[in-house]
Amino acid sequence: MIAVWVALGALTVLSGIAAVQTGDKAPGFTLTDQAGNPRTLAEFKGKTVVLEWNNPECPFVRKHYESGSMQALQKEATDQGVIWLSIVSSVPGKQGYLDPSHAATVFKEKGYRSTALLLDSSGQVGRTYGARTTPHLFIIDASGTLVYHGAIDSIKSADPADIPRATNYVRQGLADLAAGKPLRVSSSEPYGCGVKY
Amino acid sequence: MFWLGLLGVMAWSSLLAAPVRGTNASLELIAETENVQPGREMWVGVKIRHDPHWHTYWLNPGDSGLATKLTWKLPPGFQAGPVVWPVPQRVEIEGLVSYAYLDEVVLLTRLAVPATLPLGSPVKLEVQVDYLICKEICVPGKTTLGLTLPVLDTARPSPQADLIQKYVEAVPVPVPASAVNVTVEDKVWILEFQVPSAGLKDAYFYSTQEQTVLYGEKQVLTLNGTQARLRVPRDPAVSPDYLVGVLAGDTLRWEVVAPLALHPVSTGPGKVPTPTSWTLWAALGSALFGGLILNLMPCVLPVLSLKIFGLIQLAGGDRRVLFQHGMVFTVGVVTTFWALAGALLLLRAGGQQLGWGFQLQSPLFVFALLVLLFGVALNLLGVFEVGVTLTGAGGAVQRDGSLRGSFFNGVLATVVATPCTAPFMGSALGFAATQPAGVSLLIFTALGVGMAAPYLILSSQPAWLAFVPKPGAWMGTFKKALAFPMLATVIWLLHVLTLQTSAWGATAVLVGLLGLAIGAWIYGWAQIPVGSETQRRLGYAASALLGAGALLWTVQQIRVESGAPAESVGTRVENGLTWETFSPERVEQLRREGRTVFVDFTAAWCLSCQVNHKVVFGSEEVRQQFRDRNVATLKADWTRRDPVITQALAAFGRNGVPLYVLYRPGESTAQVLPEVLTPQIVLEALKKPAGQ
Repeated sequence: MIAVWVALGALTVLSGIAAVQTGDKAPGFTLTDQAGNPRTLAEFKGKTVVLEWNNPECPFVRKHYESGSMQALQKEATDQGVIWLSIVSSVPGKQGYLDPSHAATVFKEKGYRSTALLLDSSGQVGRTYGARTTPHLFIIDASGTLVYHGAIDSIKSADPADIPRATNYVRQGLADLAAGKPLRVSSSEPYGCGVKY
Repeated sequence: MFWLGLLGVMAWSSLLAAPVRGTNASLELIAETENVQPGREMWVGVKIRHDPHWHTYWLNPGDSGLATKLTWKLPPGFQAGPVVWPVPQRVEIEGLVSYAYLDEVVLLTRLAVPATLPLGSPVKLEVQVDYLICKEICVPGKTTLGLTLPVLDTARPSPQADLIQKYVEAVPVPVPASAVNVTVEDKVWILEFQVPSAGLKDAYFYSTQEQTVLYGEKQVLTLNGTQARLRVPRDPAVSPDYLVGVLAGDTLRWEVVAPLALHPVSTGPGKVPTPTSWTLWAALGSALFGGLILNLMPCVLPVLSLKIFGLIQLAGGDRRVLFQHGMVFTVGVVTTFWALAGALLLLRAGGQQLGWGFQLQSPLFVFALLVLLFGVALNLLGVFEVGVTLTGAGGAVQRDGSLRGSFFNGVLATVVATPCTAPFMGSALGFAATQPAGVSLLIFTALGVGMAAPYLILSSQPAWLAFVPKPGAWMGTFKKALAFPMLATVIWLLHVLTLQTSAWGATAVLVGLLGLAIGAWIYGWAQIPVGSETQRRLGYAASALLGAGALLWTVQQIRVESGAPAESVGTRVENGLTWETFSPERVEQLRREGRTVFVDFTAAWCLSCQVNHKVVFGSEEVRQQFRDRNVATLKADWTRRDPVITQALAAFGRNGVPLYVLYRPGESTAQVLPEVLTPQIVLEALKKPAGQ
């Protein structure tokens, strides 16, 4: 059993991060949410979906949550019928790993306004999408095609004071999508802590 | 006694600023000297000693992380340059690769010390270091470091000098764009280059551009004799026109700005075809046309009024003589283009980073041109005559029958024209710079022929000159009037010289010109046969002595003053916009912040640059749009020699100014705007929807 895990681990490390590109079909997945229910990407077919890679302890994630700006954007999006999935890919023993029994508390205490907080504790979904940093954002349109991947906004820093000055690529992307226009920025370099695979 | 001791301790502690404990690291501000010396540039550095396994990040952090940021707080007049980054290490954690520093690193910065700094009271240098430091987890840190140094008239090395020297020697060296040949395949960049003489075992390309390479994938080096080939996995998200980064290995450390070879030619509006993909014919056509348009650029106008004057004088005369003058003028123009091209090629072969207009980067050349034009103005005003015989109107330069005069006019027109780059000419010159000497000379010939063409045609068709009035007494008055455009050009050259030297340099030039004018006046007096032969000889001798003395003295002053540091470091406000000093790193950094970036490649001697600037940024609408869109404005000032700017120009296939470049957020390709700029062009480029 252990041998199989080691082999699998070696395989994933060797295969590195297989990034999904804009225009690709978004790969499906099944993950457990904060309430312990299995959730799939397929159940949100026909809707715009935002995937947000998260690690509650990473300073860059904290920048956007402790200032309240991430929750505000989540509310703005979900009010318009957009599905927002926050995903934690930290593996057990690494920073940000969420125990299933603990996830609901974090979700409530930090005031998440996303549709669900999903636990990817094998890191497999993160690797499939090529999630490199927390935060790292992906937008999937109603047809299931990836239309944006990259940073949350235009100013790379851990300082909350930069948020008002930055262009939020997700807000801008969702607005473009709602207006039926091509996204002004369809990819950018993500910034933040490395995902704790 | 106690106080003395305390003072001693204070002085000691300021010299040996102890490391400051930051977040999982110790930091220290160090300097190569234990004092500052007015007017002397110096290296300073932020030394970061990381706790075991903790690391901070390079300019481009790679898969994750954040570059360290230095914010300087310096006494008035001090200027800090950009961070000079040592080659980073690759830190791999579970398939994610970051470019970072472990153990010890010194982030170097060049510090300009004002020449006017008074000796005595010490100065305090302060820097705020914002960094992200990671092991498995990441923690942001903010540490302020200070260093108080005395001001002395000689610089003394500090105990840290050796450490700084070690890092200075390890800084990647810029290589010409041609050193690395870049081609692109579906999934990889291919970098080809010559193996250094010391051999090569490994190499890695650290991209400073975002979304260009896949950091987590292996780069593969293959060697074939002295030819090295590095396959760099490519991020398919964007496709830039050039690669920027550091190519590092066991025996090389290169700073690379390499345009893509065989990049598909784009024909969209505002885009310039990649010069390397040009045919010789297209380049020659462009050069011919560019040369023609050069006649309409502001630099050449004063000299051309002279030429037209010459044509008027000759209009009524012999057709053959007129045509001869046209031909000789053309020969003068073309020969001068050859001389300039030859000098440029020779100097470049000698390893100097130079481009079109290079001679105007030399204050002594500017001075020579200034003296020449001032002399012509004095001559036009009738202060003295050239040549032994006296004629009513003209002097040797324009006198009937003097072919020498026409040749000289061609030379003068070309030399004066060099500060301008006409449309079409920029890309033709850029092409010439990448070609073998023979092809280069051919393109310069086409430029010259293009420039001389209108006069050649006019002189071969004297019937077209029928409209001009008959020569007469009015010409004497008109000739004097021609002195004023000359004097206007003198003012402009003086402005250039002020920027290249100092206020004192400009004053010295004016004193020199005064001496010259008095010399010319005495010479003019001696030419009139009123005094005795002895008196006239004495007059000639006195004028020669005065003129030569004034010139030599001024040249000496300029030599001393041209060593003064440039004023244009840091930021300056022009037309209500703040212009930062250009560096490729700063452009990359701003682009990574998602800012729209406008770069103005300019020089004080480039007249078309000044005109464009006034026209475009004089427009309130443009300024408003720039402010509303938070456009970062950068100025690359090529008034003085600057290898970094020469290289940046080369990356756009250019070899001269002006060049206007616009980077829009989310777009990988820079947009090159035309050489003749209008507010409409700039506004359209700004407002155009993304991806077009």
